[in-house]
Amino acid sequence: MTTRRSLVLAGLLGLAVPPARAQDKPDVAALREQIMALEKESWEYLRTRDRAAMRRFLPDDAVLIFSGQRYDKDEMLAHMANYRLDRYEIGPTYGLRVIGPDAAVLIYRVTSRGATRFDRTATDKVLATSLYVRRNGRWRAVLYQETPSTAANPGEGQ
Amino acid sequence: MAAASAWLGASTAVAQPIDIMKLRDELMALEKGSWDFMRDHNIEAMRSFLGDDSLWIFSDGNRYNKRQALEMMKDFRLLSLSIEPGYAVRMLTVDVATLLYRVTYTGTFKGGKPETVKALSSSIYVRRDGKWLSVLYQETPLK
Repeated sequence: MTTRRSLVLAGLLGLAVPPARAQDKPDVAALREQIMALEKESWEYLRTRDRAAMRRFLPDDAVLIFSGQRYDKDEMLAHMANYRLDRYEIGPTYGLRVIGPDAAVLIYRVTSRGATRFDRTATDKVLATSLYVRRNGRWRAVLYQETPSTAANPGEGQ
Repeated sequence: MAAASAWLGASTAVAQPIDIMKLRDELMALEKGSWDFMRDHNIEAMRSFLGDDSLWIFSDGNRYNKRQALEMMKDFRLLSLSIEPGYAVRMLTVDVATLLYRVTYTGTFKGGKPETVKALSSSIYVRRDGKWLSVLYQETPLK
């Protein structure tokens, strides 16, 4: 019954899991919260400039795309040394798309305020996606990307 | 076993570049094909290319699910397109890969003024029933 309800819910949310692996279907709502908790951890690492924690958080093949630039893991860790995040707020209507048995994309809106060294403090409103894949039983953030939000398209969840 | 490791980009220095390069070219061929579908207003081909759960996020912040994307294609005219040669692929699981590239294109929407976009794009592909499907395309404007 739970499985049936989960399938219906996933359908309503437009989520997709290959039918062949339906028996492995995660509880999407629980997974959404689990992955958002991980995502918030990473924002906290950025805010507190905890590069050691970020180094553990990001897999070696992580890619991050924001502010018109692409960063690999080492470049992101270097960027952290020169960036001050004052505050951030994640919109409440985030969504999760389960794209495979071991892959899911978190979609959310975030407003952040901070400054790169020698630069002005700025507020950014973006639509962010974060692709997580499960490796050895652990969800890892492998691709993060931001697109500026517009007033007409605030980028809320799904 | 060695092949599986290579696909994951984990080891076997000899096998990895061969498979990854092959995948990179295969996915870029698919990606370029999708731009052709856009240019040619080939909605049926695009329907087959996209996963049912696909999502597009363009540099202007507009986002489209599959139904919306197919509808939007009718009103979009792609005038020019250039993909930089230094594109890359990341194999993230055995069935998930992302293509990363820089693109410049000019287009018009509903007959409006032509606009040129320069963006960093990522395109996530998932292999389902042996076929690579596009599930997320996203742009970040280049500064």
